[in-house]
Amino acid sequence: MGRPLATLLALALAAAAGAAPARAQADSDAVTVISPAGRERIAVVAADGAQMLALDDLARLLRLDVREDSRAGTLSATGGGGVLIMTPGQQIASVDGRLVSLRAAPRRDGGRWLVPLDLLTRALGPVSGQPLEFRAGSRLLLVGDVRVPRVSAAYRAGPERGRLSLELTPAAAHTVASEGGRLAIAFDADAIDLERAPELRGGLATRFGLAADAAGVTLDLGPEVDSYDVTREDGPGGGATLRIDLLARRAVPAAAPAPAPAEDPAAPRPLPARTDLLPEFSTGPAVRLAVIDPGHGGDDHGSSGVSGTLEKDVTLAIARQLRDAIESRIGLRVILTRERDEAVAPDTRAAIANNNKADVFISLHVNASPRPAAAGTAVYYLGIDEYGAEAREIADRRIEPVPIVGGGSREIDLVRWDMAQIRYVGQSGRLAGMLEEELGRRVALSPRPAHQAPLRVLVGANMPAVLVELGSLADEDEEERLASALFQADLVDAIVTGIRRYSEDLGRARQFAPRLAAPGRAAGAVSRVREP
Amino acid sequence: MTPATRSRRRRRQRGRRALYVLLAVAVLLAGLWAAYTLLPRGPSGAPDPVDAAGGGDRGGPSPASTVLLFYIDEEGTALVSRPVPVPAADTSLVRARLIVERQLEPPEPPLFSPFPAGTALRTIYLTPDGDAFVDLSRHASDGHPGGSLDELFTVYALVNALALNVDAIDAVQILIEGREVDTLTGHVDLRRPLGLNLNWVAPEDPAVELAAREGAS
Ligand SMILES: [Zn+2]
Repeated sequence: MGRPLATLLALALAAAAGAAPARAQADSDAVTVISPAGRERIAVVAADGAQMLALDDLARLLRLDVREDSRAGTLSATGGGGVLIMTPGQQIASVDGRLVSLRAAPRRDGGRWLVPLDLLTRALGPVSGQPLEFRAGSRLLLVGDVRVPRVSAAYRAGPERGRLSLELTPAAAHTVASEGGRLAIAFDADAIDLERAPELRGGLATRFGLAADAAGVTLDLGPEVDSYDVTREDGPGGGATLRIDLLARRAVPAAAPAPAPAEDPAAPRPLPARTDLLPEFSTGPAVRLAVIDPGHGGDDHGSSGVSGTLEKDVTLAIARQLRDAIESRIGLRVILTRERDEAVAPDTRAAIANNNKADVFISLHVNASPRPAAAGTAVYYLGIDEYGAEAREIADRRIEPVPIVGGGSREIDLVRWDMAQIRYVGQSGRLAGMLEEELGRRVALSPRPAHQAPLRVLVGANMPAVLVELGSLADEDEEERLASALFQADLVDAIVTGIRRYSEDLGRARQFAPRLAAPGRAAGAVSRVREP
Repeated sequence: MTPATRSRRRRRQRGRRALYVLLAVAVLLAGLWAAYTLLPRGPSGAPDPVDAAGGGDRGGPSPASTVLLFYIDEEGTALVSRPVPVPAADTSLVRARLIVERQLEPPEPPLFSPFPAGTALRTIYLTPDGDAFVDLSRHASDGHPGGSLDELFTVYALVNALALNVDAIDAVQILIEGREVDTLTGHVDLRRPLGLNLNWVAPEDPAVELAAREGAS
């Protein structure tokens, strides 16, 4: 076969290939381009078993200069970062002299050129000279410096409640607004990449959708919705979880009751209702779980009295009584950091409270001052000056932790985990003050009853935390007193009452929250809003 | 090749890939562990000998003078300061050593020493940043009666004695037998240097006025 014939045959084949119709794919296969200029969809067509895009669409979006050199038989695209040269009919392209292989060869389709989708990631990033990210799952093409967090949404329906959870990676500030029975949750981003959307079947939430500007989501509410709670948790890995709890009209708890009038502390009190089926929806008192830390243990005896009483035994005995009293009298759950005579590391003690998302942490100790005047109980909380400028800066941000429906939604900024307490020093001081008052009504206080100090066991606690010195063992009189059932009952009663007051105080603080009618910015805060 | 052998081989390949991943993770962890344990960190990893010898010292020689040292008051409810003479010193490091040795000695009655009997100074290190690392013998913790208040007295008597009286020292970290410790007896966090703190001293104490004057200058 002669050369001219071969050329003719090749041309004929190429023409035949070019003539094969390229089929437009369903619109769901289109690529959504997000750039600082905005967003637009570009069509995808199938040809030669590959997904193809129009080169002129890409040239416009990425500001590429496209030229066809008919003599050399090539197609070039020049951008801020280099030159791409393609040859029609060939599955190889050159990016600044470097060869890359393509899923399909560029081909002419009517008056335009089609190029394979993988050209985006393989060649156009470097050529355009700007960041280019193609997210295959959501078919998003991110051009330039745009913020497009991935959002995974899930919805759980419970009796008279519902919860929408939005997981964001990376975190972005949010706002929640309500208008005409629809919640609009917007993010401080160019768009969101909605990886997962919930299927809704009516009830409190009737429809979930992407916001019109694609930078948020919407949730249509059923007529029974009375109010909603927004809580947010920023994780250490840079992500965040936003939870929106919908409450049906009947399910909304009544306003926090006024403090109960003084009554016989030994008399049984009705327990607050427990919702064990959906514990995260529990709307009981502001404090739901207390962790009590009996100081010392094992080989670490702590201080000791002249007649042989050991601090570790006193703290454990009183911790057990406290647990019984708190559980039976105010219906809170209590966890002890040790149940027996064993050594527990300080970080483990804080970790037990943190992992259980305790609302308060109370460490029990007994002083040892041999001087009678220094006897008496005292309450300590963390001092921050000892932890340097970083700690003062964190504390100055003044993000008051508010216990919320859902239990685990405290603010966790990028605070070092071993200094978690710094965020709660204000709250810890309030708790310390109330405990001191209650102790002072029942037992002798030390001459210096409330202190801030760099206490090891409190630093890592990620919730309001105090250390109570119950008395002093080295004082003979008080050693005897500490062993008496009456004195122990007074200590326990004081601490239980202090916790209850603190819980009620927080419960009241919760009532002052924005109303649903005023779309409030809830970023970085916990808010409760009520439909008018 | 039958589909069965293919799937077996694929399974084997997958198994081998998992093994490689495990190996890589193990090597990475070993490397991190080695870096963590071998690299010097903190003061208990060998402090710079230059600093220990006083070379990193901010302050120069100091004449013989009177300093304020701290003791537990008669009631046992606060620290009080007492003026105590210390001899001249060539460097801040020598001055710091003289002050700590004097502070560890028992006071005149009716005051109490905040340090357990037998507590001795082993070494002091100074850093150019104003941190002093004071290495005490094990008596400081083993012989301690315990309790938050008495532990605070012990720690802040030493911290204040150095931070108030040695210009080159801003903060003090207590070591025991050459090692960093969490606490003396389970209460006060000793994992970082602590600065002057007169909360444990009565407000009318001369130390409070002195600290205010020094802070103003
Ligand atoms: Zn203790």
